Amino acid sequence: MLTRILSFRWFLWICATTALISCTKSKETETLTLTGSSTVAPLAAEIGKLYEREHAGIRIQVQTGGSSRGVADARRQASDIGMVSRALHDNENDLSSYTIAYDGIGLIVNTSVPLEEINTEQVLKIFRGEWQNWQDLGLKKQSISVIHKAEGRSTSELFCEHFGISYQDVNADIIIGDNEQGIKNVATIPGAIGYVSIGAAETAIENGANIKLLKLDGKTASSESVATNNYPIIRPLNLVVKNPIPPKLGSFIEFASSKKVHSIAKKLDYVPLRSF
Amino acid sequence: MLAAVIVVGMISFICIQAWPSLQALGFRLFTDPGWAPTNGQFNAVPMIFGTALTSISALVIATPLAWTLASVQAFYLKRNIYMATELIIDLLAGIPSVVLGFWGLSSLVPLLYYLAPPGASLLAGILILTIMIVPTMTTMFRKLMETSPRDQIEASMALGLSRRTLIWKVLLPAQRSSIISISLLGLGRAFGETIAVLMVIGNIPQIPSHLLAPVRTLTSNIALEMAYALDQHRSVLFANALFLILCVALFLFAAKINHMAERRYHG
Repeated sequence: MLTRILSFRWFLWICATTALISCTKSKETETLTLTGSSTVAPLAAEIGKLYEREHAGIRIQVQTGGSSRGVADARRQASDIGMVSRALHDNENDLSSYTIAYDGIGLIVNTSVPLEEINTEQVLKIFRGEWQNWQDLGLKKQSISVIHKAEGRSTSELFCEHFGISYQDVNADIIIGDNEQGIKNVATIPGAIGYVSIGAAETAIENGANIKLLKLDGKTASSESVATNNYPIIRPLNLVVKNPIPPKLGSFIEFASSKKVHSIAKKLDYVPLRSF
Repeated sequence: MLAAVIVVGMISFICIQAWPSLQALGFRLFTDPGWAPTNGQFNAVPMIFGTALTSISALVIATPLAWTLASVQAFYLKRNIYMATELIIDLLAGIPSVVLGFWGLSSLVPLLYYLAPPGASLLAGILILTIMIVPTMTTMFRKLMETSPRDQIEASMALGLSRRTLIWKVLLPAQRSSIISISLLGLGRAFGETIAVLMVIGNIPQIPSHLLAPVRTLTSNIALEMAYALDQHRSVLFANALFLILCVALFLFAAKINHMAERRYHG
């Protein structure tokens, strides 16, 4: 009985002190919230960590939810900064965007597919469902599984835009959410083809995933070819802020587009700004 | 009391979020030409089919399987083997669904691919759900067997009935109502399962034409799109969640009614 009362009292004490600590902390620190694209998020989180180290009293919070969420949150000022993995549309000119790195979208296949290179025409035939077997490309007989990204994600939007097709034109076998899920699916399903962020694919291949990046129209899909602007599907990774820009954000944005973050971008297999 | 407040609060939150789309779209949620959020088409029927087909089929497989397992456990196994199987089944019940889903994606789906590509399909979803609900249902059935009325068992032993006759002719008819209750609880679990199913069913919003076609369930639809959905799209996803809650509530209600009827019957 005694122990129970004691432990309950301890519990109260712990609650009280935690509350106290969090109160005093929130007075001292300022929090910047970033929401949006899951492609930009890992980069923003790393940049945030470095920034926190150099600026005492500032905390950076990063939450994912896709590019359109990033735009909407920045507009409504539900977050301080939105993360968007594409260029802003014309109807989004109430926002300012700041590019912090570049990334490409690469086509990946399972390693069981004996293919190294693909061209636009073949991609169209496969993704529209006109070719359903790798035999149609002169390879061994094996069914093609087309892996498509969910509608409204910026990766699928850019992919469709580049190949000039609408989302509904794609005859998908499997629909997935983020890059990781796409890589897992292509790695486990023998005849699979899909498209993901080149940075994410390179990291996965380094970690031994069962996938390979295809050359597209003769251009190698790698972060080097993105860096030299020698790849067809390149997208900017942006931070967006509602106009006019509040002064407290200026310093962070300047920091995020400075040379200091190049090594972080490289480490995460994105292409730093300097290359352009 | 607290639980009641939380449940009511949660359901009213979902209703508030779903209201704009229910008001604006109404029956279009069932009659639109397809599911294409960027074009403003939100037909939920394929997802409702997906959810119903996966979970009901899983239940049809799981109920007899779990019941048989439980009766074997309760009446045939020696004490130490019984303990071992109990441990294994409890362990199986405790596997996190994301682990099961990953196993399904990396072993089950490639296997089914050779049967009929792409492998991620209705069948894969049904099998994963069956594996998920069998252990809990077995545990509940075993409790049921072990608490079956002493007098029934003793009377059958006195009559010299075999164990097989006891189980099939005496216990099974007597347990009818409890079996229905337990199946409905299993169905509720299967309905709500999200991540394991999402990983193996392919997520194509279509009414499947055969067992090896990919489908999308209500839960996987919400999990896949809620992260970035905005405005009306988001509200429609909440409406989908509302359909799901209504179904589960209906099952729990049916289980309760069934249970009450049984009580009254036994006085």
